[in-house]
Amino acid sequence: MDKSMKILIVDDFSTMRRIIKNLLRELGFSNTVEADDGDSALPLLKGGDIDFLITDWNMPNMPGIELLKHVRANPATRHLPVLMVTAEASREQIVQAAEAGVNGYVIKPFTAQTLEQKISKIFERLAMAS
Amino acid sequence: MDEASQDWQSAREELARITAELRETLATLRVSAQLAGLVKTDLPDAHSQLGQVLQLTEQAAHDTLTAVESSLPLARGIGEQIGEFRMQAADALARDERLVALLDGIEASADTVKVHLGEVLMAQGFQDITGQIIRRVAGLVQELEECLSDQGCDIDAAARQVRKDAREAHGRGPARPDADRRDAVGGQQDVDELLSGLGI
Repeated sequence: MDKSMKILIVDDFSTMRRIIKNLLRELGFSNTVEADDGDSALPLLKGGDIDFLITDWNMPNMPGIELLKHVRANPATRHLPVLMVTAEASREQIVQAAEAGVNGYVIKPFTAQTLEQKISKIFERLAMAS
Repeated sequence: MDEASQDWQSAREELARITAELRETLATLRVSAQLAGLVKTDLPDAHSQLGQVLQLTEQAAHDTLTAVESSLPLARGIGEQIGEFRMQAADALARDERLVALLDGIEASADTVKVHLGEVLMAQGFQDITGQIIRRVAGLVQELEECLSDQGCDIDAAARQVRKDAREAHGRGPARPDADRRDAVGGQQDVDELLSGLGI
């Protein structure tokens, strides 16, 4: 796993973005950018240099599930690994995210260890697939 | 019963009817006045107070995060400085076991502080969860305000369903322990099992 990869954190709560940013820094990932919903994340993704996307679901304007669908529909970002970190806890929604092509799903409130495990798992699987 | 007392009887009945009507109208007026107060002041107040809670908790969480962010490198620094000290003072440490024990103690404390700072960091996630709940309740207060206002709200069931669906698309919000949410997962383990069943 490349520790210098660029990670986009999307959440409408600035405190949560800050928590995730700090956790990632503790894990050795310091190259992060932030957006507060899907609408403001899309232009950042168009830049083409994002390696990993961590997104909330429940956000104003464009929610995380729509962002995920946009990412998968766009040839440039189709293979971008996406981790959803959200308080949305219904089975129906988790299945919906899986069907939309999410790579991992972390339920809030979460622990630092859970976040680390899910990130490692995503990149292990990607390494195995390639 | 003679004619006079019959007149008297019907007059009493009429008076009773008018009094009852008057009482009812007055009660309605009182309710209307109360409702007007609710719409004009109480509900907007409640809405802005919820906004204030959001703002205060957000600021407090950010202040805490700032303190954690400045303390974490210090805790890490103590560990590094102890390592450096062990190298610089190797001779003295070899001569005195008490110094080694002292350094081990400082190092263990610095590690514990680091773990606790991590816990303080994660605990600030409360602001996201409570914030989502407060936003939902604030939205409800606003909707109530619209319904009680002179313009009134759209009571058409179909229109309400469209609004509900639009809200749902953005998410349902944090699961409530007291509510009947049979579809909700119990925690991360349930999510992992569900996803692994789907090959993720």
